[in-house]
Amino acid sequence: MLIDQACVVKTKHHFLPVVPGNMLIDQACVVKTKHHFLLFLIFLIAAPTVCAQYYYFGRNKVQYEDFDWRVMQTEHFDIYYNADMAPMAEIGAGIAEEAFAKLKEELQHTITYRIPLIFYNTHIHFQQTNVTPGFVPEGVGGFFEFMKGRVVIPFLGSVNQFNHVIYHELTHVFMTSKLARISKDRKWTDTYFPPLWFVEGMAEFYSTRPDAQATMVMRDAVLNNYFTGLKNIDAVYGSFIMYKFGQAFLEFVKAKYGGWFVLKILENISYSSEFEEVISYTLGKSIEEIDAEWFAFERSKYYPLVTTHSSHALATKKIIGGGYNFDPKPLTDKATGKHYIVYTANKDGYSSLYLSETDSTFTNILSTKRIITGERGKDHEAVHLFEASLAVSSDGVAAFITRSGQSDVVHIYDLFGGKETEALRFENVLSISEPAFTSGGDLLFRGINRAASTDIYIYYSAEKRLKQLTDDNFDDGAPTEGLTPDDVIFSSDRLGGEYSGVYNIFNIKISTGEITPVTATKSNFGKPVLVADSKGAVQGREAEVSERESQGSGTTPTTQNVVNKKLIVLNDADGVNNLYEIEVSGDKFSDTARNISDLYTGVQTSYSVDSTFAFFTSVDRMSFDIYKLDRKRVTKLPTVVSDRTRLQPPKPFPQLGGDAKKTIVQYKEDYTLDYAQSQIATDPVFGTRGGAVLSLSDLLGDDKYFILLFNTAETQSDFLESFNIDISRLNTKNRTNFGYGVFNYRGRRYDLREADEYYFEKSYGTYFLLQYPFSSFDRIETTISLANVNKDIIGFGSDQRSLLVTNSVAYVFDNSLWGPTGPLDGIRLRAQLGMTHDIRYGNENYYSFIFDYRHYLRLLYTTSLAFRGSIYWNEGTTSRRYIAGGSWDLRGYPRFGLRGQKFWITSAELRIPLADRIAVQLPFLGLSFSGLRGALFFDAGSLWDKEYKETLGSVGFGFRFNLFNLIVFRYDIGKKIEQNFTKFQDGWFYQFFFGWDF
Amino acid sequence: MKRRGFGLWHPDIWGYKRMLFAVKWRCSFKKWCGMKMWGKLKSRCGKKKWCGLKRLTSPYIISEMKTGFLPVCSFSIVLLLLFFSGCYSSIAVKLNYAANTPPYIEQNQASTDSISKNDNAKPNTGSYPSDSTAKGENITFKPEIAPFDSLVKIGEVETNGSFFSESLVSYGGWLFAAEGSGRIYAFDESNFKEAGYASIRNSTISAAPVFNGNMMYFLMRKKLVPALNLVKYDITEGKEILISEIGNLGDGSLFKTETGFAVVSLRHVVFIDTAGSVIKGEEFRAPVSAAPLWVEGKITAGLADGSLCQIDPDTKEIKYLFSPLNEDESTRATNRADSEQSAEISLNGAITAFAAYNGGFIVARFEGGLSLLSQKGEKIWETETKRISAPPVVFKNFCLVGDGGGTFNKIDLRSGEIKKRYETGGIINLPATALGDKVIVPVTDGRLILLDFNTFAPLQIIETEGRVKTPGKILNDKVIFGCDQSRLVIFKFD
Repeated sequence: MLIDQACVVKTKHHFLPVVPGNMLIDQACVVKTKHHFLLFLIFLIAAPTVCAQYYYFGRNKVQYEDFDWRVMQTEHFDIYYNADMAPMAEIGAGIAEEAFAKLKEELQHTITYRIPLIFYNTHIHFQQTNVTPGFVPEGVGGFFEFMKGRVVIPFLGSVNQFNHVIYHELTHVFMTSKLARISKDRKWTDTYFPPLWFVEGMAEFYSTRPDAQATMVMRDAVLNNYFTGLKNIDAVYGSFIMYKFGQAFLEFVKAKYGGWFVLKILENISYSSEFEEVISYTLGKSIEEIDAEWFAFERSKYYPLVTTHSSHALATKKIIGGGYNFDPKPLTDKATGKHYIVYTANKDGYSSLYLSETDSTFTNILSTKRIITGERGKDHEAVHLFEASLAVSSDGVAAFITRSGQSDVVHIYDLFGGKETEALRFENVLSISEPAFTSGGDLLFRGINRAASTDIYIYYSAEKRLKQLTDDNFDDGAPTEGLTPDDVIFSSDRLGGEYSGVYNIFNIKISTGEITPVTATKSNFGKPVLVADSKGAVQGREAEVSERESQGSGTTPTTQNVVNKKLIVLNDADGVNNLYEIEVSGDKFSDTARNISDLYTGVQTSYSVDSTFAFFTSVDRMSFDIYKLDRKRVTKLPTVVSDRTRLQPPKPFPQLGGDAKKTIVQYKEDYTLDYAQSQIATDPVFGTRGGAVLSLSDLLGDDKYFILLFNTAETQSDFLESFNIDISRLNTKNRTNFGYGVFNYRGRRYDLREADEYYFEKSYGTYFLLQYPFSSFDRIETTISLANVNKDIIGFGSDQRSLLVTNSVAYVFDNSLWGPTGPLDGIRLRAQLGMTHDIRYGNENYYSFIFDYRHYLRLLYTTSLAFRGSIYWNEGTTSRRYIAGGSWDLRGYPRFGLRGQKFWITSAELRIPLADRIAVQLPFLGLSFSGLRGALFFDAGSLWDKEYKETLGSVGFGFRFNLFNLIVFRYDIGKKIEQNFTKFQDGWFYQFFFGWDF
Repeated sequence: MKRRGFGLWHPDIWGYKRMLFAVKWRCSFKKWCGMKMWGKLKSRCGKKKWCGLKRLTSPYIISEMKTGFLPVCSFSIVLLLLFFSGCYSSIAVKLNYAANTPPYIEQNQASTDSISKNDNAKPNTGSYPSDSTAKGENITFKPEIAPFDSLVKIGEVETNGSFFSESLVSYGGWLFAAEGSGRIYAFDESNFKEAGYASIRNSTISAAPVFNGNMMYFLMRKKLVPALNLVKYDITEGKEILISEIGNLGDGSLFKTETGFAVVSLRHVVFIDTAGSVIKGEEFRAPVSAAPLWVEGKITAGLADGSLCQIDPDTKEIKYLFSPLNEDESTRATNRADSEQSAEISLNGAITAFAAYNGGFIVARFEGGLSLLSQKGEKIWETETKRISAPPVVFKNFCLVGDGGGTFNKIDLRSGEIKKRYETGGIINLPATALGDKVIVPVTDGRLILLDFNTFAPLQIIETEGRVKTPGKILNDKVIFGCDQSRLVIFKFD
């Protein structure tokens, strides 16, 4: 994945207090100077000293882990990894060198510089990376960033998956280098890239064969008629489907034309600026003809499935839809006889745990209740929706996994009692998934530890003891109780020979650790669940208990206690994961797996079964919904037969051969340039201004330096006197972030906050800032600065000198959820106290207090009611003023036209959608915009110095328009409330500006 | 207040500032400020008295314009004209016909071997066109040469852009170096002194130029524009004579024929007369996947469907050799009818490189492997290799070829057996240079490896600091490689 527009999540949560590049300028601190354009650029990049706070709200990227970085230097790579994961890093290094050799041949290109690879042992650590300033979403599996050519890859539990991601990202590296070479050979200043779908498609093409997931996407698209072809492939821009369409296109080219054509499309990039023409030129046909061929190719693959498979409409019953729904677990409350489905879902922007009451057949939903809301607070910071994260016992106890702080936590929740009873965090296990209860109430799960080893664990709830059942580099997962309490059945890729790299089912004896294969096929098995089928539809676990009880008492088990067990599994023999059933006879598993679900798009990896039905998530029209299927259906798909006679030991994971591994050293910061940008401007009145900003950082992005330099001289003699410089450092390596810097600013100022005051100011000094995040949502920050200021007010001929010490401390909370033009849900809060003293001349002394509270109440999916209540208070001998007025606060009043040392404001705004999409089709051009919204607003506030003057207000209606997620245009129409809130203005005001909603 | 002009724009910044300051001092200082001053000064001066135009005509301004503005403008206009014009350098050379290079040289010649007298192999039929006098002078090999132990770098010359595999052409005592940035430089072969360059601005060149008398012909395209143009350039007078657009062909190779030129692009062959007019154009049945060569007086190209084709420059006909794999019966029948010598062969995938040998062809395929085929397409031998994109070099009855995995092979042409291998660890996509009993292997990562031809022992490894972009061009006792950072690196045999 490239750290480009597809990968870096441009969420509105990226107000990172530790990364100046995403700073929001607080309106109260805007000081309008004649350098405004240059300073606008500067504010975007460097930590300024003009304002006491540098980020107003925003969530935090918390570095929970204190990484101990090592560097392994191989022949072509510098591999950075945390010391804990050394064994997996060696495997990754071996994979990387293999990938280099293979991609070199495939792409006919070599890379002569050393490629920096950064490995993380889990996704949780990966999300703490400073290589990218933005948040890394749950679904991102790795990225390649262009600035320093860094490749960042987490280990997600499986060496096969690790292999895939390494190949994928290295394909990006090779492709970028090859394209840069094509441009360089022609002395072009820009590197021309194909569109994103081709870039990602090629990365998938060279890194993996089409797997169950790719097949699922293509089947769904072709059979449900939303397959776009090349002409309309922009419709799926940035989505996961885009990756798979790109891969499918290249597979089609290879199958239809030959592998030579795949590379040739890339090499012909210089043919034309239009990529469609490049494809057309290479394949020798028009795009329309190629699309027709591609359509026919995909249809010929998937249309015949209608004779062998079933659609969701015919074979299943949809139970739960809307949003993304996963992990369904049926539950019956024995006390009340009510039936429920417990599941995880994201229906409104928050990944949460839901409990839906159903009828007795688990078909019709009677009511739905949200049990746990994720992503709102520190206990449930993130929910891993696409992993199995839920287990439910028949007693109504749920084990629900969320990320909380530095690792995953298992929350034990009493569903009927409505409360969380326990939160389990395990020291050495960072990532937890695929939980399952045993008959004894213990918990099995899959865990990834600090050494990046994926194993299965059992937690004995009575003893509160954790036991690791496997300990190796195989991807062991989906544990479930076996035929006896001493057995655990799980999936793993530990077979060798012809089954190497394929997932099969195994049984492990807890007491002895002996592992035996249950299946042995070349298709992937997964997610085993042992279920008991007997008269009366007794749950498997209860049947087991009943049998043991009868055995313990010495009585002969009655007929009704004898159960017929089956092992339900997923298998991808037909291209996607469908459900299969393996008979159990005594303690033996049959070699034959009978198909019980034959859906086009198969079953998503977490499901549950009872004696009659299977409950699962499946994809239909790219919608993740929960379905119910009768297990007794007869399907046409063939059985899958295991052959356990040809088992061989597994082959070792790729290792570096010979002297390929050169050195392993401790990581040392090596600072290189991130970017450098200069600006020069000239005008007839003020003459020429020029400046530059540079940023340097170490390879891991933990330590950054910013250098700002510009000159505001108006005459030659002024030149040396008019140099402005600001050098700052920002360190985000640890949980506590700190920064400091020195500055020297000189130039003319026109302070909006003081009427008609022009002055020439020289100020130099230093500042220090500290920030501690309590969680992703809240933090405390403090700053201190010392500045020597000399202010020469023009026209008055007097200097005002001061030696200012400014201290401030602030608490910030932000769990807001954003829509297209501003927050829709959640709370944002800032409370700040600051003091400024002139410790030498006594010219300026004041304290400041800011309390800014904003609450967003979501009414519908994109409709919300927003409230704001803020007070800004400066008190002292020479207090500075706040400014207000305009579209950002008191609408209707002149922008920044109100001033006062004290300022209060309250606003209420109803934010509504007007149009989701506006498309304009001109004869020569088509344009499409999204996110036209409206707002009904009410503002009230006032600004004053010593004596309160009057209360101001306004009401009205506004339009908001989001332009490509870069800027929001605002147009407000309304009436001011004048004369101390007694009268509406005559006429209307009309105000246009830009900026996000408050 | 003494009025001074502002003007809205003045090129003399410092003078303007002096003027501005003078105004400031004359106005009340406290009323002066950036934006406000502009308005206030206007009102102070009186609207009817203030006028940009009037100020422009003040004596001060006019004198400033005379000394500063006009010359700067004039110079700028001249610079702009030069910048936007086509050629702003030129090649004007005196051709040296006595330098053993005729006024007409065939380019893109087949790699053939001058068989030694002791060799019982049949005389090769894949030789130069009969009117060529380029005996012993070949881009990639020189079998008879004084023994030497190593290569010594004796110099470098710099150009502007980057080279490609056919960049270097020798003609009339001059070495012409074509670049991807759209320039063709000329260097005196005796001392490598630069004589200038021909260029079309904002263009790119990806094929070797051809020469006829004083005229140099080359193909160029504008940046990211598919249209291919033929440029005719007089190298003795240093000016372009003609630019004619051939079609939206993309990059192509240029061949000189009796009646004009032939351009072979990815999908088309186009015949052009010397006036630049297209005589005939025809589309190949599959794209060209291996760089075309002269073989037996015909332009021969490898195609992506696994076949070879030959273009007769006289008849302007395309003849397809072999039937590709996966061809259905009816198409095969048609092709057989078209070609007297076609045959069913088991070629697998696009042809990525080939060379003529003994009337047949050595053929490399996209999926890997090297075969020797007779002219009828019968397979004589086949050997396993990784993907080969560098043209094989036939030398002393051996085939010297490197592959994408970095293995350099010496293959016995009689049996197909790989006699020697050398692992370079890089990618080899340029032909080797064979000199006497030495072979120079150019590796893409910038190394030149000198091997003993007989033992394949590495004798010398030279780092060129970048990538090697061209095969070795032999000029008398020197060999020249085009390398990264726009350098021609010159070595002497030592």
